[in-house]
Amino acid sequence: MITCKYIQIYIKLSLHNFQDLYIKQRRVIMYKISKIISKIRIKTVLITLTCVILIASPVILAATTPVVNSISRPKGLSYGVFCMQGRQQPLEASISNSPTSVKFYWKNSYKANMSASSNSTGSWTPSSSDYYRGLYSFGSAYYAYPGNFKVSASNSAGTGTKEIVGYVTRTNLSGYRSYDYNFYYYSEYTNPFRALATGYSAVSHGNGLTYNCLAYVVDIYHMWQWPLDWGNPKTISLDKMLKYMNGTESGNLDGNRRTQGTFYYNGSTSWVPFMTKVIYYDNGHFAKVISYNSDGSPGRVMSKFGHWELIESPYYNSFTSEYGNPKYYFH
Amino acid sequence: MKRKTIIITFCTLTAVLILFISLLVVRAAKEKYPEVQRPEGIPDTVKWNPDLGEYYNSDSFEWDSEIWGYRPKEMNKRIVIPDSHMLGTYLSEDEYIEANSGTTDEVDKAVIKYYKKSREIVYPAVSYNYDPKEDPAFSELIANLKIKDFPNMISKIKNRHIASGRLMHAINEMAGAKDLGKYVSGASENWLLHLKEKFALAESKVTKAAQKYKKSSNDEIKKQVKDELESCGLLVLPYIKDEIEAGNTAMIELLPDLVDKYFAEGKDNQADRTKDYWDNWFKKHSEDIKALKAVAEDLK
Repeated sequence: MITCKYIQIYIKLSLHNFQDLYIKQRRVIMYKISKIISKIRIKTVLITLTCVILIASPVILAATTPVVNSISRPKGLSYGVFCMQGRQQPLEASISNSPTSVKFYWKNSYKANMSASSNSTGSWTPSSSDYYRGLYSFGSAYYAYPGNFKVSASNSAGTGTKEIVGYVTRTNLSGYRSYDYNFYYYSEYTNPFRALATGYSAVSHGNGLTYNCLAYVVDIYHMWQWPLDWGNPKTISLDKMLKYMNGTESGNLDGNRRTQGTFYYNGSTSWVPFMTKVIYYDNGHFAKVISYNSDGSPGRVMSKFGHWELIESPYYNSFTSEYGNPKYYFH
Repeated sequence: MKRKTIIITFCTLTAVLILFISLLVVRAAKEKYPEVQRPEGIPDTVKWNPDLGEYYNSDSFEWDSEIWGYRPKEMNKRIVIPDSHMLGTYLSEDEYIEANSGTTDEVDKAVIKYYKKSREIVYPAVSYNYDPKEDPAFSELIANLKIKDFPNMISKIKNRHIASGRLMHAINEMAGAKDLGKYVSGASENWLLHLKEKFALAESKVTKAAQKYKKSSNDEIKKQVKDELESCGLLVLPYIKDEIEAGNTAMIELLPDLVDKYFAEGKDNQADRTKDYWDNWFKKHSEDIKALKAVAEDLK
């Protein structure tokens, strides 16, 4: 009994000591842990904060810098955008992230302000100084040397831009109508322009980098054609012209016979139903026939206006006195 | 049951009828102008355009309803442009201006001024070749070029400078060789060849004129000589100078008309134009004379 009591007392005492020890140790451990934790926490906080800043910054920026999603006017077509000199051009762009300033540029030159909204609008009237005198870029089919329309949207977070390829026409509506009184222009995408104007520097017989009406009708699309012996365009010898067209004589680079392009062997002073391919006008102009009326007479025509653009005309006989009246029909 | 079948049949037939009518409407909408009866003798390449109700030449054109117009078909790329007919490395006049904006080359500076001036002009949409008489900006080019620039201009023409044609016309104008205008077309080699011939002609004419002067002082002969030399313009100047320096001082008489015509200087009093006067004049214009000689030598 007595032994049992001693054992009990011993155990109690041991436990008491152990508890005391345990508490002490626990305090030490807790202290150490808290010290480590306190150290780790500072590091962790710093690391986490850095990570958050690094990850979040671009996200925050991306979320706030304006993005020009699309430019709907000038309306970009695969075929090309033709903004006409002297004609007010509507500007429209879809922009996200609350722009505070939207600007329109042509060939990196500021041209107009647009409204600072998600559906930004504005207008710009191209002037003669906006025409960019491109030489014909050899090998790129109908395209000469176009520039870019750019919409730039900004706010405090940054600037977003978008570009489309475009072109400003050689002259204004009245300028074109002085050659074709039925000339029309509805918009930058519905108009009669079919290829860009070419430079003026190379306007000389046989030169590359440009082409004219005569070159176009004989399918030479990148070399000016006007035989040296033709002289005054209003008094071209019909005989010389026919020989140029069929490639038998004259015509030519530096007096040699024309050996390239399409040749026309048949022609007459009146049209042949559904057969007329090319029309010669008496003041020195040439045009290709596009379409025919139900009686087979020529309808629309396509022609290069000197070094100006390649233009579709709605009627074959609506050229002014500059180009004159149909005189000879090739088929 | 019978009544139900009738209703179902009726509904089905109605649906089929609606579908049929819809198809017809859609088709009619697509073909706004159906081709009624194709006239005889129309070539196969002539096709019907239902959007516009007209025939068109499908060989050369294709209809594009997006732009509501015809587009030319892909171009014939087999055409070869002789190298001699290509111009320089720039694709546009503006590109050339941008690339040479800070140039110190006098000829390039003059060409840039000319291009800037000509930018204000909408040249007519005509298809015949360039004629300086029709170009209001051409005088600007001439005004900024000097005789001493000729060798540089010739070098640029040989290297197919973007403004080769204009530089050829400028030399024709400044040197009084307008008859070379017809050769400023196509290959510059052609024009250079004629300029070379013109220099050779000027030299031989001056040699012959010198002999005539030595032989006679007849006014009629002198007039004849003057008329003969006139066609060679300014190109005779270095050869006349050589003759005068060689002792044929009578040929000084030929200088006033020549100089007054081609040099933008005030016409001095005829009586003051002595041998000394011309000696000084040649000194003052030594660079011009040197340039004319250099071109003549270069073309030989």
